Amino acid sequence: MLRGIYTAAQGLKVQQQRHDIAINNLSNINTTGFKGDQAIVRTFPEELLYFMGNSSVHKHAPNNSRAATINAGMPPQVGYLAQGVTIEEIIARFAQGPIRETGSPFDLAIVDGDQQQKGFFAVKKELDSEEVVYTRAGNFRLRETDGVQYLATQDGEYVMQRQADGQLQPIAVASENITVYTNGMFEIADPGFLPVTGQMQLVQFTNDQLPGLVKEGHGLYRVNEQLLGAGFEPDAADNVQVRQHYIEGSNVDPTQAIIDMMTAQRAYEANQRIIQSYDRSLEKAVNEVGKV
Amino acid sequence: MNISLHAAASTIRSATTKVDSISNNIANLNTVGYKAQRVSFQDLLYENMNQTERVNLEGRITPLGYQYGHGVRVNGLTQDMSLGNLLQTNDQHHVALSGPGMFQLLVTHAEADSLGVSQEAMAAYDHEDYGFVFTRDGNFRIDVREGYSSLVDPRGYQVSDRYGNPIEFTNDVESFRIDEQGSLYINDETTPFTQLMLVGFNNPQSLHHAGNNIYVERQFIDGNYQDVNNNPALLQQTKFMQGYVENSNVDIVREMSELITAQRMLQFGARAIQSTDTLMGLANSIRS
Repeated sequence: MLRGIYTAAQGLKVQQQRHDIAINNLSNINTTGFKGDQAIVRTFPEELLYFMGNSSVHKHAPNNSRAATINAGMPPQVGYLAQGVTIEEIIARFAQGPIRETGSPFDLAIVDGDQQQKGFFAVKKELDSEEVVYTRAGNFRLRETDGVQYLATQDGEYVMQRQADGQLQPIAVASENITVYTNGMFEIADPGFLPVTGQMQLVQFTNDQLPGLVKEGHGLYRVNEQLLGAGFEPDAADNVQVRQHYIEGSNVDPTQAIIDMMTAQRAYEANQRIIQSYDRSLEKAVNEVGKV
Repeated sequence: MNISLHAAASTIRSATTKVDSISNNIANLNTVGYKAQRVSFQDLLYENMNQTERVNLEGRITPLGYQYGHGVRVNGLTQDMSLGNLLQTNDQHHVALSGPGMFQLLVTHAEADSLGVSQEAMAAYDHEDYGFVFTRDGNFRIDVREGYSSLVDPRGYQVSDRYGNPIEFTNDVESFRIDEQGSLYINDETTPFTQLMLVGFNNPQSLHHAGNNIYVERQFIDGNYQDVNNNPALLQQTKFMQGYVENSNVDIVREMSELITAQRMLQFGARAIQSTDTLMGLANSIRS
């Protein structure tokens, strides 16, 4: 019947989702380490339509028409028709966010040195867990567990350090006197004790690997096994700088987000008009055709 | 539709919290010993939408399925513990700390309970008369009581000496002098009468701001509390400065610029609600 009404309904749904995404970006305009999302919209696979009937009886196509002459012996083709639209994927843009000074010793920002790869902090949700998740939100704090204060994210995921043998360990911090150098080495001075040093676990994902990071919310990313494989371990970062006393802001551009919101809204409106016009056609067909 | 609306509402809610904290900071622009509060945000959980193999087409760079965000929330209020400016007042009762650390104040057990000091902390310090609370506000005064005087803070809490006892002297004391180590000399005497307590916290963020410039330990962390007795090194980085008070560390320029970003965020949230409303209106008027 009227295929287009379903296509327009699909359009409404997709524009709705684009609107949601634009607003999520807009919401996180001040979120530490946030990376904006972008929706990739795609048509459904096209379908080839044929006239009804078989090769011998071309009732519906005039004999001299182009449709009847292509592929003689086959039912004549009407042409290709797309069946609607869908959100194909949502991609996070991992561009560097602005770096802002805060003055707090536990605020760390990652500055990427190479456009081809992005650095992340490695954190664990539980001390004894094997699973490592990654974050760019470097506004850390201290979290006390069993009498020891560990460096942790605001939500309490433990920040990891890499020991000489490659093992990951949480960072026990005995005083506020922590110095983090640009290469991720840190030194914790405790008055009256020898300073403790170590190397933070910083990892990098290349641009090919970045789509394999799944957003978990709360600033965390985890590795998607489907794309990167089970047990995938990112390389230790060699081209990032850590800036202490700074945090990385959100990389969402408010203008872009507002424009995305407006375009989604207008495209939604256009799809709504199409449904309305189909509605009027149907109304005519139902109520007026055949009226004497 | 509901995601848009809720995300927009979360934006406004979070931005309002930030405006609240900024206005509190600005209100305390001249509060002695005040430490500014900072709000930080974080994205809400993402919803995983599954996709069929049918959309796994060439050119796709992410694995099947996509994540859908739900807005923002406030994930932390932190104290900015940086030093405020020291103001010279030349008043002998005013003392400022030139580095990290806090004054210790003595409160009765009942008062400590009402301020929310954790039972563990009280048990750990095990003082038979007093519980401990902490402040950076060195705006002290002499409280004249029956038969003796005591050094108290503006709220009347007694200032602790280095052994956790109140500082009390006879009523005829007219002047006193406090040196950089916190030793208090009465009149012109050359032997210290007592020494003020200086405490340091490895993690000052764990302290709870109870209002009135008072910080309390609502959660006791073993080893967090250090004082001049168990860690004399504290006195190397922090000096007592008599005749000075520490002003608030609120930076008005910074607060105003933060206010602008928070206000814009609020406006974006309002725009987002409007836009969502338009969308809902359109859906509602398909068949008018």
